[in-house]
Amino acid sequence: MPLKYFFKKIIESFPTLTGVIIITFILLKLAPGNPLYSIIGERVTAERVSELKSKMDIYDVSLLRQLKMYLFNILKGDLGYSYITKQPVFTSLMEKLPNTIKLASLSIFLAVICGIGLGLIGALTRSVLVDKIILLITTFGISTPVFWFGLLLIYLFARCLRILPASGMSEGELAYIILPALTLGSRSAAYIARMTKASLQDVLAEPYVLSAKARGLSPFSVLRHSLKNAMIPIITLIGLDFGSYLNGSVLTETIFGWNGVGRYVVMAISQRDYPVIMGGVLMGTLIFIAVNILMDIFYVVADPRIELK
Amino acid sequence: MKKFFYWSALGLLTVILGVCVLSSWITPYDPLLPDLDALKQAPSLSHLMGTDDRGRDVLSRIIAGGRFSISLGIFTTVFALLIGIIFGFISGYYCGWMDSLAGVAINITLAFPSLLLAIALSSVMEPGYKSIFVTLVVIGWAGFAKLIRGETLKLKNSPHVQAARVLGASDLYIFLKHILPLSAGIIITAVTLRVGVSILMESSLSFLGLGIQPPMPTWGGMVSQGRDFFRSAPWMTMFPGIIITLTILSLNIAGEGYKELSAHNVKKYK
Repeated sequence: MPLKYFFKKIIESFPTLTGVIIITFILLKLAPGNPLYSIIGERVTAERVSELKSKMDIYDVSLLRQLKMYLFNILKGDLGYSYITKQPVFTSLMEKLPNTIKLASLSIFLAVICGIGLGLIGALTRSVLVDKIILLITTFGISTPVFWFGLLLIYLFARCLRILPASGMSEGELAYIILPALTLGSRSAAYIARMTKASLQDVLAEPYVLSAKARGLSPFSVLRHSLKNAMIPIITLIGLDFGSYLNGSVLTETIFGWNGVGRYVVMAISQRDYPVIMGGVLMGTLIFIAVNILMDIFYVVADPRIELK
Repeated sequence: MKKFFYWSALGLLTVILGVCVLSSWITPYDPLLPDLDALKQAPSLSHLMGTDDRGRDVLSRIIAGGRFSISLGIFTTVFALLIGIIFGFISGYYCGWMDSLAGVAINITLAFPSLLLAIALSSVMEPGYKSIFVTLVVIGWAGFAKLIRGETLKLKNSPHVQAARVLGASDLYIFLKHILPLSAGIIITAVTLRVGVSILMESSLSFLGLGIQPPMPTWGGMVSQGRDFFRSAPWMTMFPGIIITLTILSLNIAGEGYKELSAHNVKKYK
């Protein structure tokens, strides 16, 4: 029963979730500098500091109490306040999230089209040369650093050909999203292509495909049947990649000045704005874990052969 | 053809490694010394990869930066592997509460998206070689631990291990002599790929300004620094980027090539 499995998975993820939260808490505590000074500035007298400390009552309680408060605040959706803008971190993250989702969706869309296309060509043609070319393209796709690939695209399309804008978001025109989406999706496309090729080749070697062919099914319907079975690991991969894009593609958003979660976190790094950094990391990780659970469940629902233990 | 890729990747890796080891002797110019007469010069015979905005030779800086990138990639992977072996052995071999404890630690580490965890870790430390080192080890060990745990679980009840146990071999001896060598193929592949990931991660962190600080050159830092002069001096970003890509590409090809070759060998002997 999938529903039971669903709850089991969620309960299983509890130790991990708690561990993740404790780690961000510890990192927040380890962060250099005193948050008090960030709030009131450096040039204050010692009396004023101690007065504020007693007023804020955070400094009197033990670490364990602080952790408990941190946990409860997270449950309420409170990730603390930015040192710089004094805005609640959670609200700011939520403001940026739609942009990140937009970019992630288009990237994964492009990656799926290119990846599955390449993978299909690789699995269906028997040419050794095509095979090698696809291997080379995908290996390049996996090995190229995202930040450098983005700069290359900017150089090519914005500087040399002058057909696409180099960075920024403007009013959200399509032209601005193409280069970041290509950059972000390239890696994923390479992985999807490999997975499609491997998975489809496995399925095509199954006896039932042979029997379908022997019964005289058209190549197209054979492909349709086998693709359905080959898709399960591919969709899992797509889901996981999408999950990791949702936590803000830090590098891509920085290069293209895309106003999303990732860039927000990077800007916080240079300002030493720790609540924002850790808030962004925590939210990204929670999304990541949630997508992982969803994909586990999808796997079981899609493939009845996998036993529910 | 596949073998051709594999051997050329290995050759390229040897060259890169050799150049980095010899870096302080073979850099044509001082990588740190600004030369105000040679600002942003395009690649030429005297400066094969051009010069940057302070007149420093890009090739020299790439060679000097390679020393950091490659050594970080290798040393952090070795360190992560050692921790992974210890945790993987304990959790796979003994099971019980130690397994659950190690399992939770592994799961928590793997639950973080690795770049985000790397950012969080390195942002609370003083940026430098040490902070990158710690960060890369922390994000790298869990994958190894998981791999070795799985291998140990698979092999610990196989006949030859049971025979060794009956003969009175100690657990550690069994692990080191009868389990680890049989997993060597997978581990070598994982290590090669991991070195690539570590170098990529290091250059990403340097790109974000969280790595080794200027004026010390790093590959990622050079790409980031060249961004500001992209229009007037594209070679400042192009060459470091090409080098990072080639290094990681060769590591990936070598790792996967080794996997295929060793799988082939296993088949041959069966």
